[in-house]
Formats: sequence, structure tokens, C-alpha cells
Amino acid sequence: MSRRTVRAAFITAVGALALLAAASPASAVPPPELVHSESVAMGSSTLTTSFTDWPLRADRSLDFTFEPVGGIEGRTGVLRVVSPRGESTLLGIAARLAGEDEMKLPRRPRDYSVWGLDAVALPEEGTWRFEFTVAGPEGTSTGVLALPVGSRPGPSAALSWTVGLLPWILAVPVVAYLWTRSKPKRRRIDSDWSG
Amino acid sequence: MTVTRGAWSLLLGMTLLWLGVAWDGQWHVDVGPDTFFTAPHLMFYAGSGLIGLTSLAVVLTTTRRGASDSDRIVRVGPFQAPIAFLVSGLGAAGHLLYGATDLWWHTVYGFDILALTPSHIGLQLAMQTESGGVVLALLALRAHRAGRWGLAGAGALFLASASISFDGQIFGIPVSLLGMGGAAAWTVGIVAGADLGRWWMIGPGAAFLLLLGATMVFPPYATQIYADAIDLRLRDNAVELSIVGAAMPFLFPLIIALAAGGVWLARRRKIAPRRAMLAVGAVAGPAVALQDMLFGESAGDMSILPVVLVVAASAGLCWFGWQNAALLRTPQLEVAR
Repeated sequence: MSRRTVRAAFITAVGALALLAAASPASAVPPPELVHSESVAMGSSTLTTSFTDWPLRADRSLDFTFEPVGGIEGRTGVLRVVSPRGESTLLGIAARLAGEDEMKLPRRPRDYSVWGLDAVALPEEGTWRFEFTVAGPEGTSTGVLALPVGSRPGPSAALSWTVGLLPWILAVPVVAYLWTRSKPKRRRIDSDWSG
Repeated sequence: MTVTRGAWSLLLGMTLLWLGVAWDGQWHVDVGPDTFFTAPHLMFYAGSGLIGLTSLAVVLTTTRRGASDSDRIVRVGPFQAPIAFLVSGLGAAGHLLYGATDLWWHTVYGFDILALTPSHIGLQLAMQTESGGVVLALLALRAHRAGRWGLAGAGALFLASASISFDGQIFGIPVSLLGMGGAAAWTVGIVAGADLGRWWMIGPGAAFLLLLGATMVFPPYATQIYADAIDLRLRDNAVELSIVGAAMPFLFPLIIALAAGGVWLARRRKIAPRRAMLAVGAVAGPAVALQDMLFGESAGDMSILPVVLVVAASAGLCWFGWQNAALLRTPQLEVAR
């Protein structure tokens, strides 16, 4: 590699990093506001579930917060989410990667005084069931919240997929045509390792 | 810009693109983006932008200066495009286009990574196309030692991209297995077809180990630094280990070494390239996909059909890769200028 090439590569790398540094957001965007709350009966106590988006729509992600009376300090919460089709579902990519049957409720990263799920979507229209189990000094209590989820926003899935895959649907016949055209040349090279 | 400088610039762009994507994946899992304009997004779009601008510059230069006999040119209207830079340029254009649709997608659906996100599929396939162009561009520099290492790096990046580009199942066929096995087989075919000498065939394996190391270390580290810098906390259920690094087919260095042995043996016994590459691909591709079969999403859910498909696709792509390289290699070795 010549010295000029090294210099060009170096200048490009510095340029790219400078661009990156200049464009990086200086601080995080403020957390989304909670716009709706539901109260869940947990035996003699209650748990407040709040949402950053309401009404809920399939596939559109939002933040949930969960707060038992008396706070989360000294308590543990477990959430089992059941889809309209009756399947136990893990919400959010972190929970899906962990792959447990139910979710031990994490603290909300933006507010450690409550439990929360951030940027999670309910992937199906219909009524979802959130089954809570909270264990604390007063014992274990359970409660269920039924959540209506409306239709998926945006264009139909079929249209989205057609647009998503269009370049490659078009590319396949073009590449196939070009490949067929190169057949005479390929015939020459086919029989020789170094030809 | 000459094809030589252009090829190195593509490799740099692809490295930025890959590490940016790996960082973005980690950020999604451990912190979660709250805006489209995160540092990892900017990093991988900078990489893709470098690939796009480089491709454009090389095509314009070639058109102005005129192509030499050894260039592999595709005429597109008034332009003369070296084929490698045409492929990388189309990939980069697609990446930019799907970047725009991805921006719109996230305003409608938010930031959860859904199983079905067409804009992500578009971006991943565009990245794979860019990466294929980078391999072809570096192939032209194989006459020099540095160029061979560059080719090894490009091959490693191609396989790494495939480990995340293809995901899930379509009609019960595990696309991830086909992608990973097929990409590995194509890479083996390319280096065998480049006729570099037997030791150089394991080059992509060595480069892959380096890339694996970088992908294991950089994303979690950058995620922590970036989160601290903008006052965000990692989630309680953050994984912290590199999730993209863990998805890479770590058996590849071993398998390409075995494939190199297979090719060496075939050449000694004067077995025709076609038979040899079909056989090497049929074994090497599924061997690389084995990791995903055992530990990936489709683990424990294997029937005979996916295995047959992976074997067939890998055999075909290995032979295809060999022919790609052989076509670009003839009639003379000194393609680099």
C-alpha cells in the first residue's frame, strides 16, 4: 500500500469520526410522558399501571410503568403477558433474549422508583391479559389487567413487505440474466483451477 | 479515485458500518433508543455513506479516464462502472433509501424490534449487497500482500454481516441457516477461485477471529460509554455481553481451514473445480450453520428439509463464488492499478 493510500485512508477515517462526533446527540431525549393509568386490584392492595401511549395499537411500542401501593422497595414483581390467542408472550427485546417464561419486572431505567418496560410493543390486536404477582413484606398478591389493543397502524403488512423487498425482487431476474450471458466465458474457466 | 484506493475506502466504510450495526444492536437491547439519531445509527450511516460516495467517485473516474482491459466494466447509460463498485454503490443507495423508510417506520411504530420490520430487512439486505461489493473490490488487489489481507478482511465482514442479515423463518424454512451457510460457502468459493495459494485460503478465518474479537469488545464498551455520556442507565435486564458478537459463527476459522485442505487435496488429485467446489460447499456451509442449528432460534426444531436446503444452497453458492472470482481473475492477474 503506498504512502498516499495510507494518507487517504487516514484522512477518510478522521473525517468519518469527526462527522460522527459532531453529529452525536449531546444529551438524551426527555422521557416520554405517562398519558394514562389503570388501577389493578391486588388482593387488599392495588398496583397502578401507567402508559406513555393510549389507546394501545398493535405493533406500536410504548413505555409501561408499574407501581404497587407502598412502592417497589423491598418487593419483587413478576409479569406474565398473555396474548389474545392465549399464548404467553415476552415483551421487549431484552426479555426475549433472556427467554424465560415470565418477566421479572425490571426498574424503569429513567425512574428507579417504579418498575417499567420501555419501548415494548404488543404484537397483536385484541384483548391482552397482564397477570401480576407481587411479593413483599405483607405476603404475595396477584392481580390481572385486561388491555384492549386496537388495529396495527400504518399501511398493510402486504404493502410494507412488497416495498421492503422490491429491489431484490427486481434484482433476481437481472442477475440471473447477466449470469446466463456470461456462460461462454464461464465454460472456458470451468475446467481449470488457475485458468 | 482509482480502483485501488476505492477498494481500501470501501473496506474502511464496511468496517464502520459493521461495528456501528453491532453497537446499535447492543444499544437496542441494553438501553433502547429514544430517537432515530443515536450515535450508533450515525456511525453505521457514516460507513454506508463512505461506501456510497467511494463507489460514485470510482465510477466517475473510470468513466472519465476510460477503463483498462483488465477492469471488469458494466456500462450503465453513459457511465462505465467497475462491477465491484456498481454492486457496492447499489447496496449503499439501497441502504440510504431504506434508512429513510426506517426513519418513517420508527415514527409510526416506535423502537421495539419487531419480528416483521420490512425496513430492517431492506437495510440488512442492502448491507449484505454492499459487503459483497467490498469483497469483489478487494479481490482486484490480490496481487499484493496487503490486498490479500484486505480480501481476507472483506470476506470476514461478508460472513459477519450474513450472521445478522438473514433472520427468522419464511414458510418454515430457516432463513438464518441458509444465509449463514450460504455466505460462508460463497466466501470459501471466492478465496479458492482467487487462486491465492493454499495458505492464503485461511486468511478470512484469521481476519474473522480479529473481527469476532472486535465485535465482542466494542459494542458493550461503546454502549456503556455512550449511555454514561448522555445520562441514560442500562436496563436491569441488560445482557451486557455482545449480542451481535455471540451470533457470529465462531467455528468459521476452523471450517475454512478444513475447506482449504479439501481444495488443496482436490487440486493435487486433479479433480475439476466444479466437482470440488460443490463438494466443499456442501460440507462447509452446513458446518458453519451448525452453530445456529444447535444454539440458535431454530434449535431443537429441525426437520430434514432445512438441512437439505442448506446443503444445496451452500454447494451452489460455493461454486458460484469460485466462478465469480475466476471470472474477475482472468485473463490476467494484474488487475490492480
